[in-house]
Amino acid sequence: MSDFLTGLLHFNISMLVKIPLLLLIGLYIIFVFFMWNQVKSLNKLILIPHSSAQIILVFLAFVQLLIAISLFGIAVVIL
Amino acid sequence: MPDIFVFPKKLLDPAVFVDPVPKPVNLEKIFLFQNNAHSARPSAAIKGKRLNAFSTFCEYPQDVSFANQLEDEVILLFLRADLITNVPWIAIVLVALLVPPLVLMLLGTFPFPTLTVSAQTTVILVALYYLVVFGYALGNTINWFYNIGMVTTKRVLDLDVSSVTYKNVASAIISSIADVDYTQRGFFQTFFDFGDVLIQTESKMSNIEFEKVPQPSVVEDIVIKLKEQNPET
Repeated sequence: MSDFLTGLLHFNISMLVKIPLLLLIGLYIIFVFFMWNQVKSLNKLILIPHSSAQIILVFLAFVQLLIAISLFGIAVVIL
Repeated sequence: MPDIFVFPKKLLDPAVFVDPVPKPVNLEKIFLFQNNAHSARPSAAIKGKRLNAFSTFCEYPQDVSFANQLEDEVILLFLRADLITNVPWIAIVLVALLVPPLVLMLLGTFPFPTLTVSAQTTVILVALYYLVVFGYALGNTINWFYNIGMVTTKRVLDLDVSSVTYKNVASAIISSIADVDYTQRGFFQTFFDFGDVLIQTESKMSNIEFEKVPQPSVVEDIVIKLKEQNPET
Protein backbone atom coordinates (compact mmCIF):
# COMPACT_ATOMS: atom_id res chain seq x y z
CA MET A 1 0.00 0.00 0.00
CA SER A 2 2.73 2.43 0.95
CA ASP A 3 4.62 1.46 -2.23
CA PHE A 4 1.55 2.33 -4.29
CA LEU A 5 1.19 5.70 -2.62
CA THR A 6 4.87 6.40 -3.10
CA GLY A 7 4.59 5.50 -6.77
CA LEU A 8 1.56 7.76 -7.12
CA LEU A 9 3.40 10.68 -5.59
CA HIS A 10 6.30 10.19 -7.98
CA PHE A 11 4.00 9.96 -11.03
CA ASN A 12 5.37 12.10 -13.82
CA ILE A 13 2.80 14.85 -14.41
CA SER A 14 4.08 15.41 -17.94
CA MET A 15 2.47 12.08 -18.92
CA LEU A 16 -0.89 13.82 -18.45
CA VAL A 17 0.03 16.00 -21.40
CA LYS A 18 1.99 13.47 -23.44
CA ILE A 19 -0.59 10.66 -23.59
CA PRO A 20 -3.59 12.76 -24.75
CA LEU A 21 -1.38 14.56 -27.26
CA LEU A 22 -0.13 11.27 -28.70
CA LEU A 23 -3.70 9.96 -28.86
CA LEU A 24 -4.77 13.09 -30.70
CA ILE A 25 -1.95 12.82 -33.21
CA GLY A 26 -2.71 9.11 -33.66
CA LEU A 27 -6.37 9.82 -34.43
CA TYR A 28 -5.33 12.52 -36.86
CA ILE A 29 -3.01 10.08 -38.64
CA ILE A 30 -5.97 7.72 -39.14
CA PHE A 31 -8.08 10.59 -40.52
CA VAL A 32 -5.37 11.65 -42.95
CA PHE A 33 -4.86 8.04 -44.06
CA PHE A 34 -8.54 7.80 -44.97
CA MET A 35 -8.30 11.13 -46.82
CA TRP A 36 -5.32 9.87 -48.86
CA ASN A 37 -7.19 6.66 -49.73
CA GLN A 38 -10.26 8.64 -50.74
CA VAL A 39 -8.27 10.87 -53.11
CA LYS A 40 -6.60 7.83 -54.73
CA SER A 41 -9.96 6.14 -55.34
CA LEU A 42 -11.48 9.35 -56.71
CA ASN A 43 -8.61 9.68 -59.20
CA LYS A 44 -9.60 6.28 -60.57
CA LEU A 45 -13.21 7.44 -60.92
CA ILE A 46 -12.51 10.66 -62.84
CA LEU A 47 -9.53 10.84 -65.16
CA ILE A 48 -8.13 14.10 -66.50
CA PRO A 49 -4.88 12.94 -68.12
CA HIS A 50 -3.13 16.24 -68.72
CA SER A 51 -4.12 17.84 -65.45
CA SER A 52 -1.52 17.95 -62.71
CA ALA A 53 -4.13 18.94 -60.12
CA GLN A 54 -5.11 15.34 -59.37
CA ILE A 55 -1.46 14.35 -58.91
CA ILE A 56 -0.84 17.37 -56.68
CA LEU A 57 -3.82 16.54 -54.43
CA VAL A 58 -2.64 12.94 -53.96
CA PHE A 59 0.88 14.20 -53.27
CA LEU A 60 -0.34 16.75 -50.69
CA ALA A 61 -2.45 14.14 -48.93
CA PHE A 62 0.54 11.79 -48.80
CA VAL A 63 2.87 14.53 -47.56
CA GLN A 64 0.37 15.38 -44.86
CA LEU A 65 0.31 11.73 -43.79
CA LEU A 66 4.11 11.63 -43.63
CA ILE A 67 4.25 14.84 -41.60
CA ALA A 68 1.63 13.54 -39.16
CA ILE A 69 3.57 10.29 -38.66
CA SER A 70 6.82 12.26 -38.20
CA LEU A 71 5.12 14.52 -35.67
CA PHE A 72 4.00 11.45 -33.74
CA GLY A 73 7.57 10.16 -33.65
CA ILE A 74 8.95 13.52 -32.58
CA ALA A 75 6.30 13.84 -29.86
CA VAL A 76 7.21 10.40 -28.49
CA VAL A 77 10.88 11.37 -28.31
CA ILE A 78 10.88 14.96 -27.06
CA LEU A 79 7.89 15.02 -24.73
CA MET B 1 -55.28 69.62 -57.38
CA PRO B 2 -52.03 67.72 -58.04
CA ASP B 3 -52.23 64.09 -59.26
CA ILE B 4 -51.93 61.58 -56.39
CA PHE B 5 -51.09 58.67 -58.65
CA VAL B 6 -50.11 58.63 -62.30
CA PHE B 7 -50.09 55.20 -63.93
CA PRO B 8 -46.68 54.65 -65.60
CA LYS B 9 -47.19 54.15 -69.33
CA LYS B 10 -44.35 51.59 -69.57
CA LEU B 11 -46.44 49.12 -67.54
CA LEU B 12 -48.88 48.98 -70.43
CA ASP B 13 -46.20 47.18 -72.42
CA PRO B 14 -46.49 43.38 -71.75
CA ALA B 15 -42.78 42.90 -72.53
CA VAL B 16 -41.95 44.52 -69.19
CA PHE B 17 -43.25 41.47 -67.33
CA VAL B 18 -41.46 38.85 -69.43
CA ASP B 19 -38.48 37.11 -67.75
CA PRO B 20 -35.16 37.93 -69.41
CA VAL B 21 -34.18 35.39 -72.04
CA PRO B 22 -31.17 33.32 -70.94
CA LYS B 23 -27.97 33.36 -72.95
CA PRO B 24 -28.57 31.35 -76.14
CA VAL B 25 -26.83 27.99 -76.34
CA ASN B 26 -25.15 26.88 -79.53
CA LEU B 27 -27.15 23.72 -79.98
CA GLU B 28 -25.71 22.95 -83.40
CA LYS B 29 -22.61 21.66 -81.64
CA ILE B 30 -24.71 19.33 -79.49
CA PHE B 31 -26.49 17.96 -82.54
CA LEU B 32 -23.18 17.49 -84.35
CA PHE B 33 -21.96 15.49 -81.38
CA GLN B 34 -24.99 13.28 -81.40
CA ASN B 35 -24.69 12.65 -85.11
CA ASN B 36 -21.04 11.70 -84.64
CA ALA B 37 -21.68 9.73 -81.49
CA HIS B 38 -20.13 6.58 -82.93
CA SER B 39 -16.71 8.11 -82.35
CA ALA B 40 -15.69 9.05 -78.84
CA ARG B 41 -13.80 12.11 -80.04
CA PRO B 42 -15.46 15.37 -81.03
CA SER B 43 -15.84 15.92 -84.74
CA ALA B 44 -13.17 17.96 -86.48
CA ALA B 45 -15.57 20.89 -86.73
CA ILE B 46 -15.76 21.16 -82.96
CA LYS B 47 -12.75 21.90 -80.80
CA GLY B 48 -13.05 20.66 -77.27
CA LYS B 49 -11.74 22.78 -74.40
CA ARG B 50 -8.98 21.65 -72.13
CA LEU B 51 -9.87 21.63 -68.45
CA ASN B 52 -7.69 23.51 -66.01
CA ALA B 53 -7.52 22.99 -62.25
CA PHE B 54 -10.04 25.78 -61.58
CA SER B 55 -12.59 24.97 -64.30
CA THR B 56 -16.15 25.14 -63.04
CA PHE B 57 -18.07 25.25 -66.32
CA CYS B 58 -16.59 23.63 -69.42
CA GLU B 59 -18.38 22.74 -72.62
CA TYR B 60 -16.96 19.79 -74.54
CA PRO B 61 -14.07 19.13 -72.13
CA GLN B 62 -11.13 17.50 -73.85
CA ASP B 63 -9.60 14.28 -72.59
CA VAL B 64 -11.84 13.86 -69.58
CA SER B 65 -13.15 10.41 -68.90
CA PHE B 66 -14.81 8.58 -66.05
CA ALA B 67 -15.27 5.02 -64.90
CA ASN B 68 -18.07 3.12 -66.71
CA GLN B 69 -18.06 5.62 -69.58
CA LEU B 70 -19.48 3.98 -72.70
CA GLU B 71 -17.45 3.90 -75.92
CA ASP B 72 -19.79 6.17 -77.82
CA GLU B 73 -20.53 8.45 -74.89
CA VAL B 74 -19.18 12.00 -75.15
CA ILE B 75 -19.06 14.50 -72.31
CA LEU B 76 -20.86 17.68 -73.31
CA LEU B 77 -20.68 19.63 -70.09
CA PHE B 78 -18.38 19.48 -67.07
CA LEU B 79 -19.54 21.29 -63.93
CA ARG B 80 -18.23 22.12 -60.48
CA ALA B 81 -19.42 24.48 -57.77
CA ASP B 82 -18.57 28.09 -58.52
CA LEU B 83 -15.16 29.25 -57.29
CA ILE B 84 -16.73 31.91 -55.11
CA THR B 85 -18.21 29.17 -52.89
CA ASN B 86 -14.69 28.52 -51.57
CA VAL B 87 -14.29 32.01 -50.09
CA PRO B 88 -15.75 31.19 -46.62
CA TRP B 89 -13.39 28.32 -45.82
CA ILE B 90 -10.41 30.20 -47.29
CA ALA B 91 -11.19 33.10 -44.96
CA ILE B 92 -11.40 30.71 -41.99
CA VAL B 93 -8.01 29.22 -42.89
CA LEU B 94 -6.38 32.65 -43.19
CA VAL B 95 -7.70 33.67 -39.77
CA ALA B 96 -6.70 30.33 -38.25
CA LEU B 97 -3.12 30.79 -39.47
CA LEU B 98 -2.82 33.95 -37.38
CA VAL B 99 -4.12 32.44 -34.12
CA PRO B 100 -0.96 30.79 -32.69
CA PRO B 101 1.31 33.84 -33.05
CA LEU B 102 -1.37 36.03 -31.47
CA VAL B 103 -1.92 33.61 -28.59
CA LEU B 104 1.79 33.25 -27.96
CA MET B 105 2.19 37.01 -28.03
CA LEU B 106 -0.66 37.44 -25.55
CA LEU B 107 0.76 34.77 -23.26
CA GLY B 108 4.13 36.52 -23.45
CA THR B 109 2.57 39.85 -22.48
CA PHE B 110 0.06 38.52 -19.93
CA PRO B 111 1.53 35.29 -18.55
CA PHE B 112 -0.74 32.91 -16.63
CA PRO B 113 1.29 31.50 -13.72
CA THR B 114 -0.91 28.42 -13.44
CA LEU B 115 -0.63 27.63 -17.13
CA THR B 116 3.02 26.85 -17.78
CA VAL B 117 3.76 24.62 -20.72
CA SER B 118 7.21 23.42 -21.64
CA ALA B 119 8.78 24.65 -24.87
CA GLN B 120 8.71 21.13 -26.38
CA THR B 121 4.98 20.79 -25.70
CA THR B 122 4.35 24.23 -27.23
CA VAL B 123 6.24 23.26 -30.39
CA ILE B 124 4.28 20.00 -30.73
CA LEU B 125 0.95 21.73 -30.07
CA VAL B 126 1.62 24.47 -32.61
CA ALA B 127 2.81 21.95 -35.21
CA LEU B 128 -0.32 19.85 -34.66
CA TYR B 129 -2.52 22.93 -34.90
CA TYR B 130 -1.03 23.96 -38.26
CA LEU B 131 -1.30 20.39 -39.49
CA VAL B 132 -5.01 20.36 -38.63
CA VAL B 133 -5.51 23.72 -40.40
CA PHE B 134 -3.71 22.32 -43.46
CA GLY B 135 -5.89 19.22 -43.30
CA TYR B 136 -9.03 21.39 -43.16
CA ALA B 137 -7.89 23.36 -46.22
CA LEU B 138 -6.98 20.19 -48.14
CA GLY B 139 -10.28 18.54 -47.21
CA ASN B 140 -12.28 21.49 -48.51
CA THR B 141 -10.20 21.58 -51.69
CA ILE B 142 -10.87 17.88 -52.26
CA ASN B 143 -14.60 18.39 -51.63
CA TRP B 144 -14.74 21.18 -54.19
CA PHE B 145 -12.49 19.51 -56.78
CA TYR B 146 -14.23 16.16 -56.84
CA ASN B 147 -17.85 17.29 -56.47
CA ILE B 148 -18.53 17.14 -60.19
CA GLY B 149 -21.56 17.19 -62.42
CA MET B 150 -21.45 16.00 -66.01
CA VAL B 151 -23.85 16.01 -68.91
CA THR B 152 -23.05 13.51 -71.63
CA THR B 153 -24.76 12.50 -74.85
CA LYS B 154 -26.40 9.60 -72.99
CA ARG B 155 -26.88 10.65 -69.35
CA VAL B 156 -26.34 13.11 -66.56
CA LEU B 157 -23.96 12.26 -63.74
CA ASP B 158 -23.49 13.70 -60.29
CA LEU B 159 -20.46 12.81 -58.19
CA ASP B 160 -20.84 13.80 -54.53
CA VAL B 161 -17.86 13.45 -52.27
CA SER B 162 -16.76 14.17 -48.73
CA SER B 163 -13.05 14.37 -48.07
CA VAL B 164 -12.87 11.19 -46.03
CA THR B 165 -15.50 8.50 -46.24
CA TYR B 166 -18.49 9.49 -48.36
CA LYS B 167 -18.76 9.07 -52.11
CA ASN B 168 -21.95 8.90 -54.16
CA VAL B 169 -22.28 8.61 -57.92
CA ALA B 170 -25.78 9.23 -59.26
CA SER B 171 -26.62 9.01 -62.93
CA ALA B 172 -29.75 9.16 -65.03
CA ILE B 173 -30.20 8.51 -68.72
CA ILE B 174 -31.46 11.46 -70.70
CA SER B 175 -34.72 9.82 -71.74
CA SER B 176 -35.72 9.19 -68.11
CA ILE B 177 -35.53 12.89 -67.18
CA ALA B 178 -38.95 14.21 -66.24
CA ASP B 179 -38.24 17.80 -65.31
CA VAL B 180 -35.37 20.26 -64.99
CA ASP B 181 -35.37 23.44 -62.98
CA TYR B 182 -32.85 25.73 -61.34
CA THR B 183 -32.78 27.98 -58.28
CA GLN B 184 -30.70 31.01 -57.43
CA ARG B 185 -31.13 32.17 -53.85
CA GLY B 186 -29.91 35.44 -52.44
CA PHE B 187 -27.68 38.27 -53.56
CA PHE B 188 -24.43 36.35 -54.06
CA GLN B 189 -25.92 33.62 -56.21
CA THR B 190 -27.71 36.17 -58.38
CA PHE B 191 -24.73 38.50 -58.63
CA PHE B 192 -22.18 35.80 -59.42
CA ASP B 193 -24.68 33.79 -61.53
CA PHE B 194 -24.49 30.42 -59.87
CA GLY B 195 -27.21 28.20 -58.43
CA ASP B 196 -28.66 24.72 -58.01
CA VAL B 197 -29.97 22.72 -60.95
CA LEU B 198 -32.43 19.99 -60.00
CA ILE B 199 -33.02 17.23 -62.52
CA GLN B 200 -36.05 15.13 -61.66
CA THR B 201 -36.23 11.67 -63.09
CA GLU B 202 -39.11 9.27 -63.39
CA SER B 203 -37.70 7.22 -60.53
CA LYS B 204 -38.37 8.95 -57.21
CA MET B 205 -35.07 7.82 -55.71
CA SER B 206 -32.70 9.20 -58.28
CA ASN B 207 -33.11 12.96 -58.61
CA ILE B 208 -29.88 14.60 -59.64
CA GLU B 209 -28.82 17.94 -58.23
CA PHE B 210 -25.93 20.06 -59.44
CA GLU B 211 -25.23 22.34 -56.50
CA LYS B 212 -23.96 25.92 -56.85
CA VAL B 213 -22.92 25.53 -60.48
CA PRO B 214 -22.21 28.52 -62.74
CA GLN B 215 -24.75 29.57 -65.38
CA PRO B 216 -27.55 27.30 -64.15
CA SER B 217 -29.94 28.65 -66.79
CA VAL B 218 -27.57 27.47 -69.53
CA VAL B 219 -27.25 24.04 -67.89
CA GLU B 220 -31.04 23.77 -67.69
CA ASP B 221 -31.37 24.77 -71.34
CA ILE B 222 -28.81 22.18 -72.49
CA VAL B 223 -30.45 19.36 -70.54
CA ILE B 224 -33.92 20.29 -71.80
CA LYS B 225 -32.74 20.35 -75.41
CA LEU B 226 -31.02 17.00 -74.94
CA LYS B 227 -34.22 15.62 -73.48
CA GLU B 228 -36.15 16.84 -76.56
CA GLN B 229 -33.64 15.02 -78.74
CA ASN B 230 -33.96 11.86 -76.63
CA PRO B 231 -37.64 11.42 -75.93
CA GLU B 232 -38.93 8.53 -73.85
CA THR B 233 -39.02 5.22 -75.74
